[in-house]
Amino acid sequence: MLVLEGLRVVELTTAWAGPMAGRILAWYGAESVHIESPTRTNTWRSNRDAPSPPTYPDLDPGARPWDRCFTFNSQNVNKRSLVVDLKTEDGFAAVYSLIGQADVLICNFRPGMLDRLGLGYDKLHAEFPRLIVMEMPAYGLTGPDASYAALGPTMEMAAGMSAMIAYPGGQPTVTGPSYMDPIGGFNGAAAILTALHHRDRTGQGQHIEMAQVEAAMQFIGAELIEGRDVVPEGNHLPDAAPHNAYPAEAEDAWIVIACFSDEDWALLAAQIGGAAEEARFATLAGRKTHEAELDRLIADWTTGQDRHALAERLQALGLAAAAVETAPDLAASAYLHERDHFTTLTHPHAGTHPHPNLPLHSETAQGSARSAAPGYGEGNAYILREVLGLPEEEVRRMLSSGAFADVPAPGV
Amino acid sequence: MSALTDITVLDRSGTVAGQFCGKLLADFGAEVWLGDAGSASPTIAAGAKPGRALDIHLNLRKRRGCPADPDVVLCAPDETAEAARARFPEALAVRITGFGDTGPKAGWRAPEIVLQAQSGMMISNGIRGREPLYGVAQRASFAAGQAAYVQILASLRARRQGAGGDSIRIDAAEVAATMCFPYVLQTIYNGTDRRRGDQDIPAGEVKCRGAWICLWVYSNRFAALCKATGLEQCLTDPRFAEVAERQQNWRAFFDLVQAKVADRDPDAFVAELQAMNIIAARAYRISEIRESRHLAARGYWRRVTIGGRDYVLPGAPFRLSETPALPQEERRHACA
Repeated sequence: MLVLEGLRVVELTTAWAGPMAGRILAWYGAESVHIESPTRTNTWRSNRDAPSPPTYPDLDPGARPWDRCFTFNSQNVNKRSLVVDLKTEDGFAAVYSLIGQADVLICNFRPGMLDRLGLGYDKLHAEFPRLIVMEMPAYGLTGPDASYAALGPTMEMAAGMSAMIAYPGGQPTVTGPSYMDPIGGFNGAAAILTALHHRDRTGQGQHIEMAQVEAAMQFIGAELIEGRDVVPEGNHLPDAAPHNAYPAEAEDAWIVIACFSDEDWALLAAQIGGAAEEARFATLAGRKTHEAELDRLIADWTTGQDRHALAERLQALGLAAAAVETAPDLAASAYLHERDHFTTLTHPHAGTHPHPNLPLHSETAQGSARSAAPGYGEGNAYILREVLGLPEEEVRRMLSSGAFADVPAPGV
Repeated sequence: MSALTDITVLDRSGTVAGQFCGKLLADFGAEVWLGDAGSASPTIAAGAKPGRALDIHLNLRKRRGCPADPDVVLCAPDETAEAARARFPEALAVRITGFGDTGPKAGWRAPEIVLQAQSGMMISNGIRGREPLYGVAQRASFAAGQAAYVQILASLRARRQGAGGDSIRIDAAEVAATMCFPYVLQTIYNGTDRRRGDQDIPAGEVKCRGAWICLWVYSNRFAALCKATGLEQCLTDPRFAEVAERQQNWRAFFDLVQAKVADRDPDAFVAELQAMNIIAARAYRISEIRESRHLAARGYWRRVTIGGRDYVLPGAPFRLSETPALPQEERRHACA
């Protein structure tokens, strides 16, 4: 039995952070229902009016491109999809009943969304006191910037991270892209599991505010405490040299190499030979003084070498090195496969493919990927019939009422 | 009362990842003891040195010593989960490493730049033609600590259901790969990959007066941005008029925006854009974040005095209405 089996999660989410929080809970066995709008398609289901071939299996949008996007299908494993217009009477009634049978509600839209939908926390708490409601707006529910819209890149800027990453003298770097989203996803799951811990002891639900920018700032805690502006120098660090990425066997193929002591450097210099063994590079101070020359010297040595083989050779010597891996490298990674990082799943519209798992390993509370992401509106009938227990006639009436959909409205 | 007051933790991880996990547990009420990590060097980023800012960030509320019966043990670098559970059978033994103890990269040295290189994310960072950039601080280690927290809470629930102790394994390298945009599934779907310079996202950066701004311009807001910046000619410029063309020419477009906004006040410009439903944010430097009126209004910062010195600390990562994080003033100062 999975550790969250028997729990139900309702997601009013879009894109990455919110769905990733729900994905983690579903990984542990919760039944997660992803509510989607028939008139405003989740951006991670892509824009069906301008299909981007690299988004789809075999570069083919197919008849239902919104069911074939790698983005949506990566973060919604193990879930059901309910496509419903909350502005209709039938749609709202169905979702409200569903929330009444749920343990967790996740919302990753801007502040005020739940209230505007008639699903504000105070109202829900009064009726469903065991319910845990998490809102995860970028800047929080209060404060002068609370209403600001955000996405991963802009949140990274606001959290102070981008200004800490740049080429020397260059502009702030947005990383990932959207590195902030999985931080939000993990924090969201962490917050809900914390609240479940309390509910298991007391029976009491609660309201969670997970401001994604604030959560991410934990990742730079030390510099925040020091109040110190970091002047980024590319990949260089003040206390390590070399510490950089160097060209390898092909165009845009790179290997990182880092030496954190003079002993590290002596080992590396013996491999490189020649000028690397000159005394001026023997100490950290010397290598920092001649860092540009040091980088050129190492780049001359790494250029043309297979980055994977070289990294293995250097690691075998006890040095810190690694190929800068691409997505194809990761898909074929012997390391990740050995760590059970992939599960093959069959999606009715996207086909059968290995899917990356979550990096959470346990003997007693191991999660799993059990079903591919749901097709658009795949769970409509299931929710009405099996979860809400509506009579068949009422199910048929509601499904034909216009409140539910299994194809996005034109142009959305 | 905080949520985890019934939990006792022994943190002898000696790593940023383990200590961050212990810090999160402490934030939400667990009693966390900072134990001896031994002399073995970890393969991932080593934990904080006493008295440094990182130590205050990670270890502020922890006691020093060893509890009699911990619920969670964050294993030392040379301690297996089995060894920890031999001593504490009902505990959750958590082993966080770089690449794990088995497999083709077992024991690899895994400082931050190695973890990020192996994550698939670094190849997306920076400018095509130049070396890829790794990210800020010890982000892969923090992410590994966050993942460990999630698994611990799940395993505690299993224990409440009768499962007993647990052995938890977290590879920082695998976590780092999970934090990467899901391009791996794209590759699996169709054999293509994307890297820095070829992501077709409608975003860019411009520099206003003294600060950079990041903008994300959905197609339905493009006209509004052109009008707001006096670039109406872009609406009929063949490079920008349609979505497909814009995707190929965002850099040229943002160069035009740059010329218009170089002297704008960054905060005022962001506010103006947000009022038009154009997603934008300022790239804050650390010193500017510390002065943020938004964070101040939210009561984000915590102030503590340690050894006669005042510190300003970041607030908890999330806020729980019934079981809030412990306020800093209730914290013991293991780091002092």
